[in-house]
Amino acid sequence: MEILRTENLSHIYSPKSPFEHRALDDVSLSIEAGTLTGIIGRTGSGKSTLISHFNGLLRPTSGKVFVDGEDIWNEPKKIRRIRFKVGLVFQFPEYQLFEDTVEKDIAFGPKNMGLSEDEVALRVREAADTVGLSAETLKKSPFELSGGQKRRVAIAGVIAMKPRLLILDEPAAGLDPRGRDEIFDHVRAYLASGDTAAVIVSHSMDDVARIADRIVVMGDGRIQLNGTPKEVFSNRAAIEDAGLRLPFVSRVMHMLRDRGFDADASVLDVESAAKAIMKLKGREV
Amino acid sequence: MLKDITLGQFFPGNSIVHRIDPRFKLILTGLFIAIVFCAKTFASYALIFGLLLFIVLNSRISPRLIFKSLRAILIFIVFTAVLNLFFTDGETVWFQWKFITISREGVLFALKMVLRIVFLIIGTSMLTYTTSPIMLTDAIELLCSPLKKLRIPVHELAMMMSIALRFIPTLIEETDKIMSAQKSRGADFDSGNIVRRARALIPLLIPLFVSAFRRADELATAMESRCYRGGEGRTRYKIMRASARDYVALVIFAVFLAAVIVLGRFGI
Repeated sequence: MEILRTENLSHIYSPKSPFEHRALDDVSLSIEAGTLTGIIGRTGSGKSTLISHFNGLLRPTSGKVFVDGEDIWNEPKKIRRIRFKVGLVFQFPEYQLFEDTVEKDIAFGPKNMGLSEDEVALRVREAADTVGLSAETLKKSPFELSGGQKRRVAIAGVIAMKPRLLILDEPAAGLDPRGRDEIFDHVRAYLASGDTAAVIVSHSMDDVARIADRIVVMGDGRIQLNGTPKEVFSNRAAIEDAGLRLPFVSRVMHMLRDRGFDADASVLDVESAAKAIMKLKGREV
Repeated sequence: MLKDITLGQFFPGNSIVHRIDPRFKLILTGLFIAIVFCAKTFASYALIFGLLLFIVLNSRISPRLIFKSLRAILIFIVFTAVLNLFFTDGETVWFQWKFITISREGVLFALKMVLRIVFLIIGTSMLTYTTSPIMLTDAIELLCSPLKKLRIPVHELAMMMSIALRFIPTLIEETDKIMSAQKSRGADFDSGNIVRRARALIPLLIPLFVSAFRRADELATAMESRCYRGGEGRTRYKIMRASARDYVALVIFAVFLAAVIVLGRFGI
């Protein structure tokens, strides 16, 4: 089932001024329930502008955004409703915390939705569970937590609104490898809950290759590639044209091919790469 | 939007007005204000207009920008004009209706007041248009350095001012980001009555203050690790040197001031 769709979306910053800049150009894509989509692209490729359209923070210069089949700009006054359906977690979200306890901070979103107190409390507990925050942490001030913990609180603050689509902009930036794996696990856990979808914006090819079901490659405000990780990363030329590098494993496999080995360049994880290389060796020895 | 305010904004360039020593530019601006306040007759106003036109044309700043900065204070100008028009007593009455009287003197005085404000605004904005804020604070520091003898921390004050100016754009950007983040959690900044709106600002202001303190802390560490320890013995990357051009400008302004005073004396 489709949750979000954009049709010929374009956005121009400061139109008709010397600073005019076309940040998005004719972007059409669709996000299905149960999937995790990775959006990748170099700095300035339009990734952040694109996701700001998903929950109506930015209004398209032309084109349309549909959430659950409904044009989100049909009633501009009710745009807040869309923000509860499409939850957006910004880059370094720990800088948006403001309440005196973690619990209250996570409750900010659900309270804005106008839910009953019981419902808010329930959602806070559920969201805290999803991102692995203990009951003890809920009573603390968000300002005395570690960076990784703060980020989990911020993500829980959006998850507690139970959005149909959860978008995270560089959720792993500045975290250690373990913290990064945990965040991705939490996102996966959120998807498992039912008819929801997630979008992760990143410029780490390795992360996206590992976790995403679909990948959208942005470049110059346009979609350069859109497909499964295997499809996308087998297209080395297009990836490099977009100013990106292939994931480490694919780079190794492509290097082997360059040297005349018949290696399978579509593998993405270390395990299958090792198998593919063993197979090559078996043949050669 | 905050970005649209042109009053007091710097436009980089390499014109003769840009290149005048900032310390001189400050003094020249002071002289210009004195000239405008000493001007009493329309002949003097014509002189000032000539001087201003000369500066504006040589600064290569588009006149459109200058009009834009005037538009910001349009209400103020109109208010001054109307007040002076109706409340100046005069002998030659041109128009009378009930309690409203417009005299020849009133019209002339209102006109002069408006010209005075316009000249002041354009003249002083030429200073900020053509001098970067950093150069300006440097110049203020140098001009005020004799005050150090009176134990006034001139360098520290100037440093605070440059840091404050430097962080305005950063804070605007930060506000924008936090606002988007809170809006994404359903925060509503633009509806409800004053109390509701003020309360809605809490989720914006707290993170903003926290990050401002964090930045201040980081900046202090960065300055200390580069051995900053106040103004004493500190050298400059850009050393201001007065040239013949600056002295010529000073003389020209002095002559204008004298001319305006003399014209006033003879009532021409």
